[in-house]
Amino acid sequence: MSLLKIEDVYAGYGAADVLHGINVTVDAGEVVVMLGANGAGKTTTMRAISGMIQRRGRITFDGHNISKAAPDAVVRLGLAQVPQGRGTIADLTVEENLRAGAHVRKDKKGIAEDIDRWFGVYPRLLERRRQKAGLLSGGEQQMLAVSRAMMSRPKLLLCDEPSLGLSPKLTQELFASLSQISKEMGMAILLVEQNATLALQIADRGYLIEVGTIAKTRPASELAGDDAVRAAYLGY
Amino acid sequence: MDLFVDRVIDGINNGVIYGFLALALVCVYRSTKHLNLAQGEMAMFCAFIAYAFTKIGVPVVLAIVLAVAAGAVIGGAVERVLVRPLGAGADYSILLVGIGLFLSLNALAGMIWGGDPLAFPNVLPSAPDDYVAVFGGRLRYQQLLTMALLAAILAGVLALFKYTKLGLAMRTATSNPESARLLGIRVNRINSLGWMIAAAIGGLLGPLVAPGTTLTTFMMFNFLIYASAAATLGGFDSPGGAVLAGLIIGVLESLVGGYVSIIGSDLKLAVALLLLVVVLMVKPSGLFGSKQVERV
Repeated sequence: MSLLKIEDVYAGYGAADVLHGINVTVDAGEVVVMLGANGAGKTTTMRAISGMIQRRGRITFDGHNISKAAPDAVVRLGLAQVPQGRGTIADLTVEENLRAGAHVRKDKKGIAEDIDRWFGVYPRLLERRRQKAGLLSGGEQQMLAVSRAMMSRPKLLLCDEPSLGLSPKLTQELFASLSQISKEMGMAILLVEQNATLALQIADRGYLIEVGTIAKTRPASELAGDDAVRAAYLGY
Repeated sequence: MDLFVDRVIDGINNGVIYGFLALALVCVYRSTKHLNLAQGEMAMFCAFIAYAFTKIGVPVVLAIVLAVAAGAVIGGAVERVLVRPLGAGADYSILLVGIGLFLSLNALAGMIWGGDPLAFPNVLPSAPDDYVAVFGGRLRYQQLLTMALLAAILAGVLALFKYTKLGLAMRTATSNPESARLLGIRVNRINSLGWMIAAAIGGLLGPLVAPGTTLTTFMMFNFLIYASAAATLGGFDSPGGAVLAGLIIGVLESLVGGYVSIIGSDLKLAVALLLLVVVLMVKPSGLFGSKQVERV
């Protein structure tokens, strides 16, 4: 059974729908990438899943129907999101950002261990733990965004354009680290990414979204070799 | 010298009231990013509620406690019924809601309790010789109590923000509401709590100043203007800054009003408003407010 299953979901902003009956599934531990042009509905899909916008249709996560659930209920079930633009909580220190990430957890000891764990993964954050997060560089904020989302110990991480504003080298490092986290913790990732080459390298499977519906879903390796995908997203 | 001390003490006494109300304004601002123009009227209304309880024989301290509770309920109700449905970003609408609420509470209090000033009892003894002498000046017990309560509330608010999980969630919701929701923080509840705390603070202030101002429907009006100036000077998101700025404004207007004869007591309010304008021009985030920092 899939960890996340989106069936025939419609969603949008105000009167106009952006998603027109979209279907996506993610299995436990799987890394899935969504590719698509600007405005195709990738971010909207993310926001529909996490409950940040109104949606119609059926969304199940880990055996629960979350079609109508509010964001806080979704997070409590084990679904975290790294939002587009990193969602940095600028007025909080780096360490407080991580603590805020663990809002839905009660185990103080586990939270402290996890903070140390992420400081271990990203030593840059450790160096800046008492600084206001708004003063971090783009790359550091992205590391913080991933760590903060991971503090809730999710079963599925929604990751919206993590490479935005990062150098190619930082992007590569971030993807390597995401891939490793997924393997180590058996955590599934649903990734939206403009950098299709890199994303397909770490993904198991990919979706092509075209104006609010799914055009194709295939294993990542096949998509990487697909002529249409190559022309549209890989740029060669 | 004695006159100077008297004026400073006068200023501090008023400053404590400004700071008290400014603290309430800050609590609302930190939750929904709005200036609640009806903050003073809500405090006034709570003072009348306390008065109503004393009239049916409830001891004054208990009456004030009940007024604080009533304040919290009113604050929560206003946020839920009048502010939240307007949604985020409804700045002007909410300003207007504040004005509407201001007028309604004012009229309602007038309808129920009439327009004549009413006497409200002090909590502590207030005979002519019930005071503490400071450098030859007189600090009355009720004023000392108000100061002590303000200090305690400020300490409580700061500790809440700094040391508790709830406080962290409140700061997260203030700084980035969108992110806060994605982390599982119920931002609506946090906002509601901010309004409740603010109104409860007002609910305490109203009955404490009522013996001095007498109980009238317009007793808080001037205080709100001073408190807005204090919150602006101190920084709308800084509880400590707002209280300190309240004291600064109180002492400043008392001294300026006392020593600059053309200002006198008639133009004292102008001093506060002038200060407001200067602060907005020179340092819009206030002395202790946080500038919006973001690196993209």
